[in-house]
Amino acid sequence: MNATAQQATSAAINTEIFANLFRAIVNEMGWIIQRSAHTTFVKETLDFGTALVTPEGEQFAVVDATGVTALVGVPMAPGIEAFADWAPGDVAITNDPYTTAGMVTHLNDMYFLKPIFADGELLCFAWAFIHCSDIGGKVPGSIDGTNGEVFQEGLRIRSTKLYREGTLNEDVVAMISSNCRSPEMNWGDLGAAVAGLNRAEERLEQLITRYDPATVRNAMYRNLDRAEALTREVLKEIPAGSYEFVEYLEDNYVSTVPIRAKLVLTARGDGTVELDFSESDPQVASAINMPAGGQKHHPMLSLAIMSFVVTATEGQIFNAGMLRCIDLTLPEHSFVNASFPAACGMRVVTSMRVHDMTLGALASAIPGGLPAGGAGQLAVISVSTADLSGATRVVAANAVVGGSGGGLGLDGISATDFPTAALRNIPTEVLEAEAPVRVHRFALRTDSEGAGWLRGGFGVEYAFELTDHRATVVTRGKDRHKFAAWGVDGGKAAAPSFSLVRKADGTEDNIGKQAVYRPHPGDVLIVGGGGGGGFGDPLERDPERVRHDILDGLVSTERGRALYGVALNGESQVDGSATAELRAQLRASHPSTSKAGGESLQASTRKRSGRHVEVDFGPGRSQWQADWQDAYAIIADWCRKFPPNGRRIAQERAYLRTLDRLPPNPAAGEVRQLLEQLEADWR
Amino acid sequence: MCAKPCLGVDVGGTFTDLAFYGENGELHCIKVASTPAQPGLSTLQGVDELKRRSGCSDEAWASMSHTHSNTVAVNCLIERSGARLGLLVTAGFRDILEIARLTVPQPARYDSRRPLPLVPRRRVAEVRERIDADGQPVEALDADSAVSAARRLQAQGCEILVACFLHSYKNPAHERAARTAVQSALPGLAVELSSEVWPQAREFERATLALVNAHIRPAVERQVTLLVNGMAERGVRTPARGARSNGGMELLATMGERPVTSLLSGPAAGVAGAAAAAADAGWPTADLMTLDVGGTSADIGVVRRGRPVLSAQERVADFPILVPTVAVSAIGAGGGSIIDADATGALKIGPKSTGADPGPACYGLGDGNVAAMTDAFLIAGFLNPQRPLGGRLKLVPELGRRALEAVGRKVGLSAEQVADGAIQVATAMLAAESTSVLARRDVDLSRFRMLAYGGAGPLVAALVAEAAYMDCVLIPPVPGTLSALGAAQADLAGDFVQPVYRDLANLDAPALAEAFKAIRSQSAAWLEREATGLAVQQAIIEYTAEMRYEGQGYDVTVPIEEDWLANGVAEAIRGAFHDAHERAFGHRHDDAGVWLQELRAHLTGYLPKPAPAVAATAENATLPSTRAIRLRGNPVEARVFEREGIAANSRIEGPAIIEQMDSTTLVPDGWELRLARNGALIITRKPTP
Repeated sequence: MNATAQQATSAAINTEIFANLFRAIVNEMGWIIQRSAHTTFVKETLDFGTALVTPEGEQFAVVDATGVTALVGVPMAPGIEAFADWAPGDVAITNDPYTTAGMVTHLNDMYFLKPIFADGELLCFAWAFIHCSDIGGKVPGSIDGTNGEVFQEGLRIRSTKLYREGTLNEDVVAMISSNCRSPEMNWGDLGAAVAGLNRAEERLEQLITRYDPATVRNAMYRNLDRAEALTREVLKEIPAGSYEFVEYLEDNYVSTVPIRAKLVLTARGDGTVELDFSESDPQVASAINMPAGGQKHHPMLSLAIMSFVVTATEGQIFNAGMLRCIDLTLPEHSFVNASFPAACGMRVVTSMRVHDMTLGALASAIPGGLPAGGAGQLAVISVSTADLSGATRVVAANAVVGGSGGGLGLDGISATDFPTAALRNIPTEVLEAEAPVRVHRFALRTDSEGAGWLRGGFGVEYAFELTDHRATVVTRGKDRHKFAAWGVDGGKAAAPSFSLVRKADGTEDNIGKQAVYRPHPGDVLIVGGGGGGGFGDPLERDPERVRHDILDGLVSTERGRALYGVALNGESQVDGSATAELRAQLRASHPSTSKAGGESLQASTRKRSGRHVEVDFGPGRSQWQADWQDAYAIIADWCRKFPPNGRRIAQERAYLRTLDRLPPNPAAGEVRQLLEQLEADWR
Repeated sequence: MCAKPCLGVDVGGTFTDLAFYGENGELHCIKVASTPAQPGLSTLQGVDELKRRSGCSDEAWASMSHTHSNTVAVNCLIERSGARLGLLVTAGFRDILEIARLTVPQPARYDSRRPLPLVPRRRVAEVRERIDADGQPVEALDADSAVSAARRLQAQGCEILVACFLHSYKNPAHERAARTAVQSALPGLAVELSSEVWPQAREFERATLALVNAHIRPAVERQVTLLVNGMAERGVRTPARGARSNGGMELLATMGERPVTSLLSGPAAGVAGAAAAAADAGWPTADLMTLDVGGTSADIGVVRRGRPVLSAQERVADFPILVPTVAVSAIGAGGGSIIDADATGALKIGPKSTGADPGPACYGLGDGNVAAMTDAFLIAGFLNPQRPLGGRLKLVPELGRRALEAVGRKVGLSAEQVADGAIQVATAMLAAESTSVLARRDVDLSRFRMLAYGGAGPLVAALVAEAAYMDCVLIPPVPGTLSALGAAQADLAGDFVQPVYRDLANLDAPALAEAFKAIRSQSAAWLEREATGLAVQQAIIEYTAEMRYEGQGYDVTVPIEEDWLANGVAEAIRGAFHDAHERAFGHRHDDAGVWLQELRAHLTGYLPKPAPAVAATAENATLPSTRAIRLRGNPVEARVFEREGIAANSRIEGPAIIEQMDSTTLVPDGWELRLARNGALIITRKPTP
């Protein structure tokens, strides 16, 4: 056998062997952290990760047995390049997005890097991150939507050696301890992460002893190349062309001004895609900014493509090789690529919306290959009580999400959405034993789904009462109260999220997206998650499936008739002839749903390639678009003339003045005139 | 020495294994074809064969003890072919099954969905009532609403109703009252209570457990009846016993009441059998990783200090199972796991399997031409083509080769290279899973030894140990029927739980003593019933408490001394918790509030053991033959021994192959083999010079 043939032989066999050996190491690290971490957040929500990283900063093996995978392939070069003097026994620590060019994306994520050497030469790095439940800042837990700058979000540590050649830097520990609310818990979690890194080092040393360093090194890069090749195979299926979609955050928690993101997705036909966010809004004065560091590859802006690839391949290898196929184009100082000192604690909201926006763009490229829009909120409820000594205790009281979109031949998931699908709830019996809470309902919302040939998942309603009236409820991350999950290809938008208080006297108060609530005795808080969007025409849905939803009490008889055109007889069976008649009537009365919906939505769904796709955004967004979308676009163009830091302020003021002074759907000339006036006032 | 004969039965998908210690202590192990269409029949067929073979006297035969593992429970659950159920829940919580724990099995996949609930939403009805976390009623039970709900469910064809009300683990009064009301209004309608199946907090998991139990009960009861009658007809006068998922056993009649405790009885009996086999070989308190490589999967278990590790976090057929269960982690790397190449030209194993029929290509059944691991073992020379697999199935090397060649063409390898490569890949997969399982159980791998069994376990054991940095492997004398042996040697084992869920500061001595009394009387009643007719040598109850710091989201299992409970020494319990927490997590908060969630008891009734089976050894070693095999990428000559031909004091250096009726063992180069006192094979890594 010649040398090339021999190499091919060993590649065919060694690739999978090392994929397993590397996976064993990252998973072992993961179990060590999960087992020995201290805080509930790390243990129960598994908000931590581990990986092995090439010296160039690519994660070539990432934990898949435990922990979260949202940071698969996050670019690590900035953390590595922070030091020129890596030595055996070093461990670096950082939680700073702004000196690591988006490697870290909010302060609660604490990153650790340990170099691993083979025969005195740098082989790779072991990496771990854990979500610290508190890192100081304005509020317990550090994350608050209304934070305006990163300074309010807690302690910022640029890359620092926590261990230098095996010796702990006590000053760093002291600095962390004196700047967070539960230093012992945090230090316990940091200890767990370091234990994981040390085990990885031990395991790699054993590998090097068994194989030679060159074999191990080759296998690292081959693991990346293989993930890349598998990813390309999938992405080649997207017809070459450009596809675009516009998404909004309906407001930014500190003002009522929406935030607009626009994606132009270009499939190059060679198995790579470009995600161009150039026309997205400036960074904002609240905590939803994504500090992506201008990176060319970043998982938090690529979630939908990664899930698409994972879904299409059996046994996909999770690593940075996947991201090599997904290029980002990010405008500077934008909310998807924020710069110092933007607050970023709640960047997950933006990540979820970018996820849905990507699904929207792909909908016209690969019909039916992806779900419709999802409920897209992650409303994390916590209850804080102060005991008589004044000490505060904060208990996580659940997260309310909502349904996912239908698609891929399946109805959507009820009560959770894809970007949050790893998250578990807290059982009522456990919560009530731990916190002064009585849960009244945790139930699916009838008729909340986006109707469709494949319907969306049902939304969810969480109703609870505090039994200690000194307690405070904080709910962060509520979203899609106005702009619901969208339906696609004839599928309908879902019911939006909501949040209200039912008073003891039976009256209801809409508290909207207000985060902090101090209840009165007898108040019941109700946090609702919206449904997921539907896919395809509901009049085409199998009447038997509609019947099942009606029997299960998830779709009302009226809705079954009105949206799905399905009538049941006295024996709860589908009435075939009545159904056919009903469906014919409904089709006749909406001869061109697509066009009626399509007209007003043109700017959002304008396609560049592929076919035209009809999107139903639901009444909230459709009405807003009819009234203000054009004016908003003019303002967005106009504010680019200002220096980056002033853009959002200009945009917000101009928009609010437009709302104040002009009628809905104003003429472009009127808007421009108003902007000129505004500039004149400022001068 | 067991005075009376004893029988253990393990019913698998393809074969039913029986292990029988006769009246003189001699061991008979046989395999008969399973009869999935009539569960229990294959057992009786095997029993008839054993009676003939063993020549056991009628008197001894009548007095034998017999323990049966079952697959009826798990198959019924997988197929969901059991009873049609309705569920009664607290008003506001109709969706506990639909919402489950929110998450989906594979969160990164767009096509991943929660498993369908065992009961559809239309057969879940709300009942007005509420009990709070302290067990205090805050809203009285509306019995009329329970009755009218039950009536609606019965009209939908429900055969059994299950009631799961919030906090019923703490106070079952409302569940019981609802049952009374329903049964007096609708006589004959069975109602089962979540608080009686397993009273533990977590409404979704508790409801699921009660539902699974009710769902599989009729099928298990049918099989119990068949076995009980069948054994009686065959002159056996002792009651039948069933192997449990906790590795022990109890009366089949008891198990019929709560069959959910037997879902994993087969794999559990295997791990228990492994612990017993290690004891027979002279390692009674060993820390072991067990590796069972069968047809469709490889199962990994953990034995600590001679006893199988139990877990309350296992899942069976999509469902979380709260009752203590021998922890077994399965991966798709069995003899039937398919070998293929991915789009990048890398060899991959599984997760799909050829199953038992058609099986790997070399089985020559049907038109099966798909390459599987057994083909690789055959073509790499690990298996002897002249020896029927399991003593029964003749292998066809040409078919195996052809299937491997087809894979090889995709990646430019020969059939031999694919075979060898596939074994290396499978080894890495098993090693990776081993590391992960042991890390999860907080075990340091390198201090552990491995015990391998199942058809292909002994073939790959040493290779896996090598890749997982373990130094010692034990192969029991009859590795092919270890689960049946485990059942034959099983002790009585019962698990009990007593909910407390209180701040330790509010638990005075009488309250502690009361909880203790409750759990002790449960255990005592169980033992009294179970021990009838058995020579229990010693009954030991181990108490543990699930405890946590106030506000913490997870529990620590704390060993508790009986005396602390009986005399209400809360401070000792508190201290034990602080210590256990520090051991597990490296820190303690002496000033923090401490909660006692549940008291648990694990009762073991130790039974006399049969004398260890001693594998036949030769006075004088017979000369080995040799066979060319491929090992780790290289062709090598291996010496091939008959197991019966190995002398007691032999040392055999690898590469070598040991053949016996029900399995084949590989000793790679760098490893050597000797025999344990009972003839088990011990394979150790040679010290590096």
